[in-house]
Order: sequence, then structure tokens, then C-alpha cells
Amino acid sequence: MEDEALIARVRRGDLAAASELLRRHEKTAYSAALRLVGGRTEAEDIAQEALVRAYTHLGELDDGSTFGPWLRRIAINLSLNALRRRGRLQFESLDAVPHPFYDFEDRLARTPEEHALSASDLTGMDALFEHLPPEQRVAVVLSDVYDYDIVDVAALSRCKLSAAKMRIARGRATLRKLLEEQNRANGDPA
Amino acid sequence: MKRLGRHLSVEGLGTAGFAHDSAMRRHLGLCSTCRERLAQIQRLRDSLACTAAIDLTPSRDLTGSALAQLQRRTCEVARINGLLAVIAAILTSFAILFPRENASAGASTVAKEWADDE
Repeated sequence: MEDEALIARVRRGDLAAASELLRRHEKTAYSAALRLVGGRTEAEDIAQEALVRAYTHLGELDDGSTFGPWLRRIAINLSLNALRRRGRLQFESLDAVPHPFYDFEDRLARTPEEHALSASDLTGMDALFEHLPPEQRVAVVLSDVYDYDIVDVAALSRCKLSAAKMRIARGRATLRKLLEEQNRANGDPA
Repeated sequence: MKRLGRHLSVEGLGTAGFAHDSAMRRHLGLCSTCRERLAQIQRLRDSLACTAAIDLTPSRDLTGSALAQLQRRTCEVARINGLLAVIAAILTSFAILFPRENASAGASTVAKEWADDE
């Protein structure tokens, strides 16, 4: 059954349809949250709240076929709010010395067990995001993973356009270095 | 931004299209160094874009938890509504037992008694 048909049933109060609709898209919300906040438990809490909000605000969704992207946007907004609350997402001075690899703050915020669990769940690019500072991670994930344009990235990060561009550039540069290291470690040519 | 001569800079990877000076902008992609770096950017962006299609699996039942949370909220709202209904019923009972007219009448009786005493 298509999303539109499910949404119509949910609007009539069908709880089974709501369950099916949310279950179909829960991974979308969780993936976006995890890529942005980095911690599995927090990402699950955010995704759960995104599902609750999607259900309670379903009346505001005009086009049922866009439920997935709409839910992801809710999860992204909640993730950015969570990062802001923790003071991890701030305006970054363009004069700041770029750090090629992230320092210790992000790792200290989580227990070693949480970090190990989180890292073991992730593969490929998602595992590399763990090494980016939150501001760069947010910029790269929004821009290159979810294809938001630079104006949206700046607006969502609440920073200037130039800062958003710089964060994307630094994030990509860090990811490239990490990929090269990974390739070297695997014995692949860079 | 660190520049490598006229070429696309290392930190500038990903800034293609945002190059600051016009000479660099003109030069971008023209030589093998820049072409290779632009290709690296494109490969990285392609890998990142593929990431979006990969759905990560949560360790708990998010939908079940969300629906349970909604149900709890509904119960709380119902409880608050019930409480409000009880308060409204009590106020209504008071209004029936002590109507405004009686209260005025009572007050005027007391005032009359005071006047008589004086």
C-alpha cells in the first residue's frame, strides 16, 4: 500500500495504519539522526520523537508521497536542536585554525562502551562521520548526503553562508584524508 | 586557505565553484593536478550521496515506543480532562447550593441586622 493511502487511513484514526507507516520510515529518521548527532542512544530518542511529531502533525503534510523526506526533515531539525542544546553547534570563526581530525570533546561526551557500540554498528562513510567535529559533520551530511543546497545548510546550521561553505570544505578534506588512511591501511592505492 | 600555487588547494577540496580569486577560478580544472583533485571531490561526493540510500537499523522498536508514547500522552490528556470535569462539577454544585441571589440576600440580611443593632 502506498504512503498516501496509509496516511488517509491514519487520518481516519486507524492505529494499525499508523504503525505500518511509521515502521516503514523509522530507519530514515534514525539514519539522519545518527549521522548528525553521532550517538546511537540519542539518535534513537530523536528518531522516536520525530515519529511522534510526524504522527501528531500529520495534518500539516499536504503531499502524502513526501512523508519520508518530511519525516527526515523533522529528525534533522530535532538533531540540530539537540546539538545546539549541548553547545556543539555554534558559529565557527573563519579565522579559527582548522583541525584536520576531530579532537577529544566528542569522544569524551560518550562513554567508551557507547562509542564502541556506535562504531561497530556503522560501516563505510557513516563510520567516518564519527571522526568529524559536529559542525563539519552537519554541513557535510546535509550538503553531500542529503543534497541540501548551501543556503539551506547555512540556515539550518544558523551560520553565515561563508561559514557553511568552509565547514563543508573542511569536512570533505578531513573525510578524504580519512579515506586515504583507510585505503593505506587496507593496502589499497589511494 | 592554503594555496598550492595556482592549483585547487588541499583544504579547498570541495570549494570548487567557490574559489576566491578569478585567476584560480579560471585555472580550476584546466591542469592535470586540478582535474585529479576535482575528480577526487566528485568521487567523495558520489560516495557520500550513496550513503543516503543506506538505512541504518536501530537497536530498539522505535515505532512501538513512539506509539506507546502517544498512548501515554493521550491517557494524560484524558486524565487532565477528567480532572477538569470533576473541578467543573464541584464548581457547578457550589453554584447550585449557593446561588448568587442567595449570597446577596444573605449579605443584605447581615447588613440589616448590623443596622438594627446600631
